[in-house]
Order: sequence, then structure tokens, then C-alpha cells
Amino acid sequence: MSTGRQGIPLERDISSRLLPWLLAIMVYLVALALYSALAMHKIAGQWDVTHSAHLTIQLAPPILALSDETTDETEFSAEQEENLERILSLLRDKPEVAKARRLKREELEALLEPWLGDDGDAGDLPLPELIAITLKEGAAPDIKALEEEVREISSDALVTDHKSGLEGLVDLALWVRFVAAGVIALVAMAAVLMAILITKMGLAAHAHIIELLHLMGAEDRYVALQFQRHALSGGLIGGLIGLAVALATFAVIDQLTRGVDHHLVPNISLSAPQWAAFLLLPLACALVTTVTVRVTVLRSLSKMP
Amino acid sequence: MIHFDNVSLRYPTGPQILSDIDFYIEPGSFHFILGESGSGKSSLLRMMYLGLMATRGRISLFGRDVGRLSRSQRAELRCNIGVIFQDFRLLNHMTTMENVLLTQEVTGRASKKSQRDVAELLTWVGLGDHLYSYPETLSGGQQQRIAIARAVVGRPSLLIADEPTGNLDNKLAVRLLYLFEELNRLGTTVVIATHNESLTRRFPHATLALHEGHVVFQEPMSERLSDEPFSRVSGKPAP
Repeated sequence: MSTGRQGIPLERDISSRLLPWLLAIMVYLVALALYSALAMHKIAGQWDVTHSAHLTIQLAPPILALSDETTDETEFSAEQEENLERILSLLRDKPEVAKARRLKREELEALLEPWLGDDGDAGDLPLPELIAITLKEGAAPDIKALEEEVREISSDALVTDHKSGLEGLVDLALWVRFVAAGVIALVAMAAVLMAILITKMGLAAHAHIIELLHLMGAEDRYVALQFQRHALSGGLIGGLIGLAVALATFAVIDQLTRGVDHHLVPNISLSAPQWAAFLLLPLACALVTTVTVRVTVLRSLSKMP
Repeated sequence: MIHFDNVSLRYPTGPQILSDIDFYIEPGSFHFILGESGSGKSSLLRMMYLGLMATRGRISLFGRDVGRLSRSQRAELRCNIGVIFQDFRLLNHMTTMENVLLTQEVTGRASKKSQRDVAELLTWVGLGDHLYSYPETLSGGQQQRIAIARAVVGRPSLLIADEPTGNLDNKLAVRLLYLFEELNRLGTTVVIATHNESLTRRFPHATLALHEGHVVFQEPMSERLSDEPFSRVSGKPAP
């Protein structure tokens, strides 16, 4: 026959009632930090894959490239056509190059669309000639040597290695992940300290009842179990609230990023295992809180005779 | 049953409360502990129900040296001790019935018929109409009876009571002592701390008297030669 009630009325404590809400905030912060880390990992990976395998060679438009010796625009165009063909031929002979092609004027205008407007009509605007190079998988060509070879053909040619511009961003993404991991560790530590503090407050507030149970013959684990049950339910409720709010936040972020150019912010949809990690957060929260509470109670009770 | 061998007690930041206490209480006996306020009665009782450990000396309960027992073994011993506290120590968030049932639950003795047994016991102590009342709504005497029911419900081998008749009228106090004697006849060892000497005269049992932290005599009250407390041992009347 059970009394149907706990000997220790923990549910009446203000500190105990706050526990789920404090844990909800912590789980929310952990979820955001985890999401940032996973998203940055994915974005950095996509940047790396998308851009590191590409090079661009740019030949200046006539208005910038006309020299004292070549004053005639028609003569310049013919020379540039010849240079382009020679460079393309050079590139096709390179073992690291999978594909090299000259961009058409429409493609150049499309690239300028953000600055020129929707119609993308550049009119008579002098545009540079661009050669898009796709490297073979894992290829790491000597960019400097390539640039020297290209400049022997056209002295104003410019070789752009997309990877070098990305290194800073990839490093930044790595740091964001480190910071997120640090935030998760700090929040977990704060949750443990908070659970210890709330448990000690509960032990102090109910010291007379705990002593009574002790004198009645209650074993330490009987008293600890009452605190554990409370921590487990508080941890689960708090964890689920925190996760629900976090998922709502992710949905908002997803909506906002849908309107952004996918070249700038790649798709950050998460994989099934990554979503599973989020769903485990309330369980992890309840588990950490329960274990912390149990250890705290047992250590405190060990001081009783 | 209870053996105190040269036991002393000093609180960590306080004076010596009890010094060189030696006595033996046989199983199945009935003892009163007499003493003025501050003589160390409550501390002595606390050591008997394992609420406090001696600073020096050896305490044996049920033939076992309590200083050598593990926490779990001490908890096991406590299950055989019923305690009636001077301040009752009832749980105000629980009903009368739940307060008494809690003992059964804590000691793992709860069964389907526990609720019926508890209801019968509470009716016997005059609380049949208050089974589902909360202690705060009851008088001091009624609360004391809940505390008594809680202590005896598990049929403990040792019953320790600290001023159990303090809030009761004489009629109820006498009835309560008859209950304790009945339990004693059934084999329970009873130790009662009281300052009510008229009660100890009416129920002549062995007496342990405390004075300034020392046991000054052990004998049935009715056999005392003088009415002056503690005069036979100390040689002078108590102040």
C-alpha cells in the first residue's frame, strides 16, 4: 500500500518548480549551438567542394587592355581571340584540368545581373573574357606556375584560385564550430551546477523530513529516489520545451535562408542522424540532471549518522 | 537490547552533554528516563535511536555494536525502532492516514491490509474521524496521537518516546501508558523520557535518572527512599 504521495514535497519548492524552465533555456541554447556547429560544418563542406575544384582565368576588356602598341580595337580583339585559344589549348594539355571553357557573353551578363538589373543587358559595356576551369577530383595544380605560363601568352591575364579566397571562410567556420562546442560544454556545466544548487536547496528546505525518513529506517537510496524522480520529470519536461522552441527557431531560420542566394548560403538541411542528435537532447538533459541529483543527495546523506 | 558502555557525547561546537554513561536495558523491559530540562535526556534518546553517534565509548543495540555497522545495516536497525518525538515531526502535506502509512512504506512493510490496520489503530487512539485530516487542522493532543500511532504501527522491537504525554490530559496520558505496557507485554522494549513523576509512580518501572550529563541511579521509582530527586547518588538535593 502506497501513500500515493512523496514523503518529500519537492513539487512545492519554488526552486524545484523553476528547474524545468531553467533546463528548457539550457537545452534551447545547446540546440542552437549544436545547430550552428552542424550548419557551419555543412556550409564549409559545400564551399570547399563547390569552389576548391574551380579556377578562373580572366583577360581584361579592350578599354583596360589597349596598350600604346595596340591602339586598334579590331586588332586587339583578334589578338585576344588568338590568346584565348592558346590558353584553352594549354589548359587542355594539363593533367589536372578536367574541363576548361570560355564563358559566353550571356553567361557574363548573368553574372553581372545583381549589379545591372533583371534584364542583364550589358549593352556596349566592355566585359572581360573569362575561362572557367574545372579541376579533376583531388587535383592540386601549382597556381603560380600556371599563372606564369598563361601570362607568357597574355601578359594581362589573371588567374583566380577560388580556394584561396575560401580559406578564411573555412577557418571561420571551423572557429564557429569550436565556439559552439565550447558553448555546449559551458551550458552543460552550468546545468550540472544548477542541478547541484537546486538539490542542495531542496535538501536544506526539507532537512527535517529527510531526517525523519532517515530515523524511520529509510535507506539513502529511498530518499535519493524521490529527488531523482523529480529531476527526471523536470529534465524531460524542460528538455522537451527547450527542443520544441529550438525546432521552431530552426524553422524560422530555414524560411529566412530560402530567400537567400544558395551560392552565398548553401542549403543547411540536416541529415537524419543529425536530427536524431537533437531528439536525444531532452533525454540527455534528463539523464545528466538525474545523475547529478543522485550523486549530490547521496553525498549529502553520507554525512548523516 | 541497549548497552551503553562508557559513552560520552560532545557536540562539535558545544560543551560535553553526556559523560561516562554506563547502563544496560534488557530486551522486553520498560524504562523511564527522568531528568530536568537540559540534563541530556533527548541526546541520550537520540543516541538510542541512532540519530546521533557517541563521541566516545560503545553503544550496542540488539546485540550489535552500532559503531561498526555500515549505513545500510544501521538503517535496517532503525526499522525495528519506533520513535515518538517531543515535537511530533508530522508531515503537514500528508493526511493522518498517510503519515502513519509512511512508516510502513519506508520500512518496506506496506501491504494491501496496511491501510485497514492503520485505520484501526488510528480509531483506537481516537482519531477515527480524522483519518483524512491534515495534521495542521488538528489539536496538539491529536497530533501527538498520530505520532504515537506512527511509532507503534510497525510493531517495533524497541519503542523510544520523548515526553509522549506532554500534550495530553491525564486521562489520555494514562491510557497511552497502558498502550505502552500492552506493547511491552507483547515483547516490545519501551524507553520513555519524561518529567512527569506522578506518571512514573503510577506505572512503577525501572528508571534511569540523568543529572548534569551523568546517570545517577537506575531503579523502579516506587523503590526510591527519598522524594528529593537524585539525592541518593549525588548526596545532595538537585538544585
